[in-house]
Amino acid sequence: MKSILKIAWRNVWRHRLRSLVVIVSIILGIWAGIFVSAFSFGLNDQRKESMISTQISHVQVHNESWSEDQGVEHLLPANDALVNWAKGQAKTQWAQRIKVVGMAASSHYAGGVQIIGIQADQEAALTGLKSRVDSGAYLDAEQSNPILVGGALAEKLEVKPGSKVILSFSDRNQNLVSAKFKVRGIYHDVSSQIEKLQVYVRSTDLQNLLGLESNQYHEMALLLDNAADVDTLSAQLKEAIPSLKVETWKELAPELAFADEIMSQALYFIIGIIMLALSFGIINTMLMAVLERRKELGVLMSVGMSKPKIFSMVIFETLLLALLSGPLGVLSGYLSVTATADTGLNLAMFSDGLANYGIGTIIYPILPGSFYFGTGSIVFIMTLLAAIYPARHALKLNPVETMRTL
Amino acid sequence: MLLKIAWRNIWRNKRRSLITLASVAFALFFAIVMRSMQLGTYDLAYSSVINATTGYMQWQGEGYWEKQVLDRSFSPDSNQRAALIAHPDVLDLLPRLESFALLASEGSETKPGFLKGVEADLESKYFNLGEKLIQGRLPNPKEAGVLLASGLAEQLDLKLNDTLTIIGQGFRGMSANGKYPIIGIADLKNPIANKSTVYLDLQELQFLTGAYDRVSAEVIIPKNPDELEELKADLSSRLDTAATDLMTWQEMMPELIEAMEADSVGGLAILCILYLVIGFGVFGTILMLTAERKPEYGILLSIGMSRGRMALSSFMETGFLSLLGVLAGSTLALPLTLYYHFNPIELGGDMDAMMEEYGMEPLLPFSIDSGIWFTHGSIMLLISLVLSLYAVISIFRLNPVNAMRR
Repeated sequence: MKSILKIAWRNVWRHRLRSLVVIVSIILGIWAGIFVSAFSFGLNDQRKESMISTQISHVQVHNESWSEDQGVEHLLPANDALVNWAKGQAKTQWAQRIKVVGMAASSHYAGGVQIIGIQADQEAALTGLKSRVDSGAYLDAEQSNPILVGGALAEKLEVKPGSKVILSFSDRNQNLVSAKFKVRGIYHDVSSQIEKLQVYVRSTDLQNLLGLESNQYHEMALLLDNAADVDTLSAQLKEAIPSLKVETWKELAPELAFADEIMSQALYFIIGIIMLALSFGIINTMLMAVLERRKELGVLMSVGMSKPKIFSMVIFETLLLALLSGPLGVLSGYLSVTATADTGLNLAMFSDGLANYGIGTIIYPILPGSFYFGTGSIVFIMTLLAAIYPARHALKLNPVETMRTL
Repeated sequence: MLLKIAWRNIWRNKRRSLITLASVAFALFFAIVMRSMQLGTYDLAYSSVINATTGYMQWQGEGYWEKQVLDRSFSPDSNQRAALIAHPDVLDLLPRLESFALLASEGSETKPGFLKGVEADLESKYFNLGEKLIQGRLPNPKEAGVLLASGLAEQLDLKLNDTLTIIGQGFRGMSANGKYPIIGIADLKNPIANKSTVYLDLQELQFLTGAYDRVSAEVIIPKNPDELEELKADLSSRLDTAATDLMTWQEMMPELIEAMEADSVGGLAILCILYLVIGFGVFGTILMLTAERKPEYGILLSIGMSRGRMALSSFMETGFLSLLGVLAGSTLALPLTLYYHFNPIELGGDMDAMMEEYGMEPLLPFSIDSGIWFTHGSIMLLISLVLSLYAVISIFRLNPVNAMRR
């Protein structure tokens, strides 16, 4: 066995340039596959992270009927029990909200908005809204009817901190309410759609206007320090207060939850395609290696080298090519991912398009460790498969015929 | 003669040529299918958005697009209007008035929505409004009534012949409130529009909002949507461009194009990797055949064949080989793309929800733009021809004596 390996190793270097072409092509293929995958995973992760941290949180709690009809009447049942329960949870941030759809108007523009009544300190801790206020101030100061408006909406309304905005919506008795709010600050979000749609006011102001009590809310959102505990927490909450509808981010935004899975399937498919393309080169090279050594193989056979040995010699030679290039490819992929993971790749030229999808302009590549392993395995298996055809061809040689000519 | 030599040379090593040919064909097949799917999806996205929203080109009041409010509507000059319709490259003009309002029904809460004042006959002719109708009839000048999008009707719990209450802002601060019977319900396909749109007859909305004779935009239907820029240049010289703007859909929706381009670049990056890998495979083949023909080239050279002719013949050999691969790949891709062009893949499950979120139909049609075949076919051909320069260079460097020594 050892001698066969040795022969195979020497055979690899008999045609140095040719072997190098194969090796370099495998390295490049693996590197590119890994880097593209890391980039896609990074993009996806960032979208998920920003959606969870600024928009949906890990768990949301609503009234049973909320998902069908976001009406004022569909309040959180057992609110006091819920708040007590939430206060008892360690390592968990939470916030309560009032939500109502309505119209925001200034003297220049009127448009549909979602009005969100929040408690300033809770929201600042949960979604970092306070840190996303660019101009003006946050909702925490004493002032009558303050409102936070998104940058994109502020542009349309032509308002700045201090300007007035009229909000109109229907209260719990289906009467149309219009109230004057004073712009306190302008916030930003990675998604321009969100900026156009959501305005924040204090929950007490909104409760008064809607005719609700100060302990009546539509939504509680919870964010955990450890994302892995999401399912346990939601199960506990369901058990503690069964009348609530408790949903995790995976249920609230299935497209985010499944994106990882869909993407890794797509990426494995792409890597498979790249490897298939590589295997054409490998088959061709190895076939030539066998054909040009016909006489030599004929001699080996006639002096008594067994067929299994011939077969494994060709297989080993092919595998050696993969074993030389595979680790190098994975390593170069790993190095380039770690090199760019901190600085990120700047995609400023597509910024507007990306902002629409809720993604920032700098992408930080990241790849789960299993993917390196998966890619390595695909290379190994593909090479093995590619080796079979040339190796079989070597077996079919007739020793007498190969040596007949000079 | 040279052609003949080149052609015969290809078939001297049938297996190798076939494998190389197959690798080229495979790469091209994959490239064409992938691009066809991507570009087809973009085309659908563009056309569905264009048809649901802006149309290909609009004639608007100055600054309307930046802020779509009634106060920036305009009254089109009737002479210029007539001139536009008479223009040979313009099929028609569709006046539209758009406004924002709160909508309510008896006993339901208010929802924000868009009022669209249209001439229903024209909208049906060019934007298929009539085909989207599920119940009732289209708005018309003879009766006061509205056409409600089906998603909105569901949210407001309204049926045919119920009454819709509109609470809105009219032209220059007037209030625009009214009650209308629902004379039709339509499924607008585009999920966002379907949850927010109310169609009225143009004159009815002008009357309701007090914007007499004014329109938000005149949608220009071009004869040839591919030559918008030329049409725009020609029209702007005929219109009063001081008080009005001409805008193409590309100008109105740059973020749509950017989002598609960002996606497209991702696809092209993957194809680049594939081409790189296949390029290495082709290079390997060229390397081998140059090496094994060295003695032959030496003989040809010594018996007086010019290097130029030899180089040309080897150049042609690679050219033929990749041309065959290109032809095979494109032919194989044709039935598949044709099939999916006429029978688009319907996306199910999570992808469906994802596309709906972006406001697109969950369909995956393939494009059969001949440009895809041409572009990727020529890329593949070009790569092979550039690589064959290796053979050409080594022929010119060949030392006949050394070459024949082996």
